[in-house]
Amino acid sequence: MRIRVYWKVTIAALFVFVATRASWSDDKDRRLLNSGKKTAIDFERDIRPVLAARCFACHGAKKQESGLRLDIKKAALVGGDSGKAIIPGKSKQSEFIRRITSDDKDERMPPEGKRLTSEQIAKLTRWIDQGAVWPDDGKSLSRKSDHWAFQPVVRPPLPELKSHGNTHPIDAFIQARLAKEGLKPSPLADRATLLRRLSQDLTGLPPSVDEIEKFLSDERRPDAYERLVDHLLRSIHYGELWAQYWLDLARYADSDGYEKDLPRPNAWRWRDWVIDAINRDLPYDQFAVQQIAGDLLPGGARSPLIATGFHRNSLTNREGGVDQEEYRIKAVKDRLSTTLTSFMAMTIDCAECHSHKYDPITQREYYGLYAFFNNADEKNIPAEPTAAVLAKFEAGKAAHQKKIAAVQAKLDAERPELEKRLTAWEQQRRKQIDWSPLKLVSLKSASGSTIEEQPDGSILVGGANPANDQFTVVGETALSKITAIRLEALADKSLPSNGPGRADDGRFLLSHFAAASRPRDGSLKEGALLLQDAHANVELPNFSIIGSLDSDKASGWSIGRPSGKNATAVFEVASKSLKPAWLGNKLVNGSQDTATQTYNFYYQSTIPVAGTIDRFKVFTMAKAGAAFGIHLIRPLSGGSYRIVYRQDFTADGKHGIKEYQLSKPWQVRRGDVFAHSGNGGPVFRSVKTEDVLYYPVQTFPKQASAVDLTKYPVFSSKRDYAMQVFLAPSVTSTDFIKPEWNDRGATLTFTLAHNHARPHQTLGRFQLTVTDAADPLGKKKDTSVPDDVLAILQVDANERSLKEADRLLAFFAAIDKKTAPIKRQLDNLKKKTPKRPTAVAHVMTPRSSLRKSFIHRRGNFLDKGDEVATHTPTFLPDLAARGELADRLDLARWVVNPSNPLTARVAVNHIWAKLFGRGIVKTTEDFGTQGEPPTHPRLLDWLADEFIRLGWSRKALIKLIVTSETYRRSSVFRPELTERDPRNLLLARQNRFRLDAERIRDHYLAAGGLLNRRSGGPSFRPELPSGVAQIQFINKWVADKGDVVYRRSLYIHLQRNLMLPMLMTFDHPDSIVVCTRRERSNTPLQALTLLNAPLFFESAHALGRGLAADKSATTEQRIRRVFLSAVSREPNRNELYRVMRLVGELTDIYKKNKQAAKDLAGDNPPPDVPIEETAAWVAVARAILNLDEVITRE
Amino acid sequence: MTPQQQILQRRREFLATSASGIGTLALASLLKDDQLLAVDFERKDPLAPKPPHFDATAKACIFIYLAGAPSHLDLFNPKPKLKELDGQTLPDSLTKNVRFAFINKNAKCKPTQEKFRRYGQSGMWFSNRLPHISSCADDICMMHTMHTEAFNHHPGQLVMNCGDQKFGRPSIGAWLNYGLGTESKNLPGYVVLTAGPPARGGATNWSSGFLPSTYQGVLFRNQGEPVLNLNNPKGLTDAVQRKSLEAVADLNRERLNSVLDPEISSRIAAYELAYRMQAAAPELIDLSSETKQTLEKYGVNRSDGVQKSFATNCLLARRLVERGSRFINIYHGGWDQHGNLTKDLAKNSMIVDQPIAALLKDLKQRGLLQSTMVVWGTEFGRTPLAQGGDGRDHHPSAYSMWMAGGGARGGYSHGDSDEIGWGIADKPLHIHDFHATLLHLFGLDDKNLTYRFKGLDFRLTGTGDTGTVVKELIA
Repeated sequence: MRIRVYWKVTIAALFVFVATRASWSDDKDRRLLNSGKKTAIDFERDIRPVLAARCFACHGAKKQESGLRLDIKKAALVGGDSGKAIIPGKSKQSEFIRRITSDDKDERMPPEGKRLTSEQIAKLTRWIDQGAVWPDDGKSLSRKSDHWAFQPVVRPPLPELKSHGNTHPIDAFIQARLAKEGLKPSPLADRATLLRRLSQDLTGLPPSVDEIEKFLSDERRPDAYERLVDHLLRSIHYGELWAQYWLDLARYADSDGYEKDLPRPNAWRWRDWVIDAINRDLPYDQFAVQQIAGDLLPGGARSPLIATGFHRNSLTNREGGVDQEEYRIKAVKDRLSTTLTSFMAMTIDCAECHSHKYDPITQREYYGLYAFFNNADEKNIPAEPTAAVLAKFEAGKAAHQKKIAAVQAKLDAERPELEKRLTAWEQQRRKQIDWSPLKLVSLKSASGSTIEEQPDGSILVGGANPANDQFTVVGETALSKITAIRLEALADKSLPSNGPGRADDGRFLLSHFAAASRPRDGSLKEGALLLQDAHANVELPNFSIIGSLDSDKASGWSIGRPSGKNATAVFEVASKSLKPAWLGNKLVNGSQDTATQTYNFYYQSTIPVAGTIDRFKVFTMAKAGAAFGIHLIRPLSGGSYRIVYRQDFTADGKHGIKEYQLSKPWQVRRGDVFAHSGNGGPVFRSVKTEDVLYYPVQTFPKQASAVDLTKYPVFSSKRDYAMQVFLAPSVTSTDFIKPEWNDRGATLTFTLAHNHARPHQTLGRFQLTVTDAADPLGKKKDTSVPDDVLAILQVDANERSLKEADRLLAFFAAIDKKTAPIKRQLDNLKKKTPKRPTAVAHVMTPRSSLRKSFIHRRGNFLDKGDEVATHTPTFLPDLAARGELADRLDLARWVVNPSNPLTARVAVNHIWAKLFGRGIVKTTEDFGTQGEPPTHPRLLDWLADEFIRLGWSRKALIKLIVTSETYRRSSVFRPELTERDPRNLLLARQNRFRLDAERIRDHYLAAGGLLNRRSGGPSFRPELPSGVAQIQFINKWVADKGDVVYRRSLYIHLQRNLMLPMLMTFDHPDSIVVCTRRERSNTPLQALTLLNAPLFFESAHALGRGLAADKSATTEQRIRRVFLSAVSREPNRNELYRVMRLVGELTDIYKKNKQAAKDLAGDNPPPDVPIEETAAWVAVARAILNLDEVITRE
Repeated sequence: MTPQQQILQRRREFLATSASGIGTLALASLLKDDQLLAVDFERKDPLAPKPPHFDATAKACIFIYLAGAPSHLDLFNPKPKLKELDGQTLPDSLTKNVRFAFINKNAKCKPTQEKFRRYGQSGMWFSNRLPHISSCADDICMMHTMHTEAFNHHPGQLVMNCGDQKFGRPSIGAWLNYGLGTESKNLPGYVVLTAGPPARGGATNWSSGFLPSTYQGVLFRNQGEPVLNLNNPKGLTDAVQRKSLEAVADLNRERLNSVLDPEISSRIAAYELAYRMQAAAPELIDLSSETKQTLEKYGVNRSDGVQKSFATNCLLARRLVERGSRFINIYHGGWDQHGNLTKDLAKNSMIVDQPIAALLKDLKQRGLLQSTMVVWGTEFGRTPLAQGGDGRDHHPSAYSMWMAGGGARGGYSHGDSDEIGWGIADKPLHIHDFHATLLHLFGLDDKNLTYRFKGLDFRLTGTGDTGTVVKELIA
């Protein structure tokens, strides 16, 4: 009995075996896996990789040393300077083989680096002997492959086993393979080990002491194990653990990466989606589709949209001076790479620069895949802030409002005095403008109304009331130059409804107002006065005073039904007239909406003077047929606008500055906004980057209703807003003559016309006065006085509405010396009123208009090659597109189509790897020709097929695997097995391996009873060792407080440039690129972490303190408990004695060193327990938690 | 007998044959004499010393990284022609296809404001900003033709440290430790020291990339606790620590006997090294054994925090080399002078000049310079064009770096940029070439120092036909 003999070796021999083990592995593995196989040589799999790695550098496209070129079939068979290199069928005569096998250092190829391996040489020899089959010349655009992973999954029959009974399918495959090697499987692991293993593998946490006792007492039930599996799969912690694995693949982190590495406080929303999807067992195919293209799924549901956050885990470079397009493309390539590696274990990055050397994927195919991702944009959608954030906001807001109320009360107390000061201020102000009456020379009514001067200088109209009328008033002034004309419409008892108009209800409609002047001495010619602005204290929205400046009959000034009230209008006279001219241009960048990250642009020109516009110029790069609109937008009081004119145009497709004619001239007023918008077709192209198109997403409404300009995102784009727009309205209506003045006063002629279609609304009584005040509207002097306040000031104090009075008082309070500070304080407080916090979720969205994709020569995005359309590699099954051009959703469905040979295999391999510490294919990231072959190809195919049959249910698959005997076997090493199968590829036993970083931390927290099991929500920042944060650019790190820091490690804030040292020490990936499997290193820094890192020691302390506090327990019982907590099993007799000895030793030390005991026991030692005992138990717990077994999956 | 029963029996045998039970394996023997375990650990130890590919001149490297791109035009390479062109723009032909970070092609030429002169027998150029380093001219191998593709800091730093703008590649120190292991028994083979403003990419600059994380740089602090978690919690005396680790080792051994997994013996050895490090690391940063003269030369007694810290790091680097560490990275940031060039360059130079020169001289005096390479490294240079009034933008197409010791050719200036420092006139030196040469000095063939990842054999010098050993740089 060979085995028995082996067991009698000495300890020394055991260690020798341990020591030499490593050297056995590689060759043995290979022999093991290749045993019984004698396959034909495949060029793509066996030959091209060797040539590419070792020969092409000197004998390839770039260089042809000695004239030999090996990368093209034709050239290779011709040979080089020394004749034919390869003679098909005759390896012995082939110079190629002679040179690669030569012992002469000067002759041997390749001249540098390691010799080719005997295996490589054997393959090359066989290849030549088999006829040097070379499928194509290596230059074709597509390649086919007979590599195993690219062949369809075929469900193999279950192997027949000699043993009887109902064998689990997995065991059938595993045992058939073991039987072939003459190997016996290990026995099943004991129940305590199984419980711990299952709990670790399914939830990432050790079983609690209660669970251990319950499960062990449940022993007699035949279905106890299965019930445990079901129980664990239902646990919320199951989703947390398996989400963690997915986060590695998705390079999840809570920060941007690169230099600035800004935090991403909302990244967790996608992380929570993953946890939830896994817990509700979302079928894996849907899991994939939603993440790859959830934004394209019909129905617009929110959950699949959040799923696309998968793509948002790519890095963002916010370093100053970077080329944004460069980093957008990097992110697109990263998405492509991550998607294909995580779902299909394809490594395609090489093909970014050149066709893949090893796998049959061309550079064109790479960019065909790239094109799928090139048309997805990043988008942030609104999301509900967290409850904690909202509660904080509500509390803050309430406190703030109290402050506001207090200040308001202070201001209110001032009110009576303030009103008095306001009256004084108004009087003072009024004095400043001196309106001088005219000496009336003549009065004329075109329609024969009576028109007479009144004693007070006003003009009263009477007689028959004609439908329309025009008054001409000529008057003289002694002023040498006037700056404004005041027109007062006055009530009069003689008028219907007391006037001031002659309509039955007293209204009037002034269609047109004009004025001209010449020096009183007649020395100079008369000229029209350019009225550049007008204000009225009352006006109807559709009949504003400005309407009286133009010759349009349809517009004019009306104050509605006046009920016998006066109204005042002031016309501002321009100091000089303007010739028709192109006015200035101005591009206004719109606002940025931080929540949605869209920029709103509207191109606008603010009109500097009143006048008439009949044409404009615009810089357009619109496509032919695109429509756009030109609008005249007028600011209204209260910050809103309305559209007063609109005209639509169709672009002719010629780029550049174009002049357009308005079909009817527009009357404009100073301050009007001339704006430009499109209506859906692509209108502009960026001047700078040709392939970036800009699209209007909304147009202004057609009807002239009040609009808030800022609510109209006319152009939406996230990059490159270097656009130009020229707007140039031209004033052409009147051929103004510059008015001329001299110091002898002027004769003024006023025209007041009523020619509107609504009849009988002429003015009844009015007065005209003029002024030469430098600033007749008080604009310059009171730049602080806003227009609406100016308007209110025109109204008699007694006639102001309550609202107007309040507005005026509020304004005055802000400039009054005494109240200004209070008002300022109040305004500041109001401004700082906490706004309801907004939150976002990071998702993707399809582009409405497609961006073109090109091959990037040598991977350089600035060097564009051919344009490529979306397509998938030809060596894989065809993709079925829904439309003419395949999109990302088609790609997603192609990924999970059962005919795709990779996806199901890769998925089951990932799951298998987590349950056995190694995949059936070890290279979980690479199923290509450079990956390792599967240890059990038929089992892999069977599982892949079964997975699809199980409706892609991960839970069902996991249950299937963990109920096999293969999974449940003991992981204890067996020397005879180690000799035959050093890496345990054949799984005669389970594997034993170190836990991942997160699980180690979680285990400690659980053992110490500190674990906070709350699931989901924002990530937390644990305490960082001092000084660690300073090493990165943004070195602000505020650790969270409270029990949140005891949450599972999955929820640790992952700052890409500032990973928690503990995570890095235990091989956490850097979260920068997809990670399919982690290293499992074993270093002194790990020992230091487990012994001394604050959180780990805290766990040990809590556990030890608990042991000390339980006074009723014996030492033995306490040791039993510390073992159950730390390693989920009872100590054996040796262990028990050894720990008892430690307890004694430590108690002795602490008895002698009470200060040390006090230090260790901490601030809150259990009462009535000798301090040295507490200290000793804390130290014991720390020791036990440092056993190798604690951080191991047995 | 089932294998399970066999295992149980095996364990009983162990206990019976072991002289007086498991407890007698005292820590002292565990630490020193347990050859079996030691042998086993070293076989498995990824950091165990390994022979180079061929004879090496360099054994250790102190890579001083001046993050942000120091203005080489104001420190090492004066370009008098710029005086003539002061205030002029460059012809379109030079700027046509150039990508700038912040300035545009209409920026004006800016001559240096610093005073330059030649130093040493070799007559190497230095500006007055480096009065100490210039006194080491004849030990310095100046490289005037460095160039790179990256023109933003973080990508540039990744190229200089890891050979690629992409993340996830191992840094130079990781490759060296992977290729050669470390001679240090009690301290890490790859140590990172920082002072003052940070290098922007943080730990990505000393990453082990796809290599096992054992090879990543270990951040050391120059005061307090030099290595994270080195100190035991309060109240855990050395006696308690010893007794505890003794028990842990015994219990791990008990486990090893029942599950026979060699990984457990690695774990036992790792705890052993951790315990040794607990003594060795504090000794490292305890400078009481250095002479007052040494401390003064380095400037360890400077009053300014950053100056003191940088000086201390230079001295610690020497002490680490003496203790067998393979690669020591010293970081100092803040060299990104888009503005305020004159003042900030003076300030930064003041911080680093004296300690670096002291390091070179100290190493030389102790006979360590011939086997220790010291590098002045950074991601790129700065433009001969002005940014604003007193600044320069990023310039990747030609810049200067230097190395000294470890077999580098002292007193030699390699190649030159053109007369305005825009492009390279002679002997271009890509970062890949520099890396290939550096590895060569360590006895490593960059084409053969590979690691298979995602199906490709990766190298520090890229995956293509890149990286050439430049013999002229070698003494």
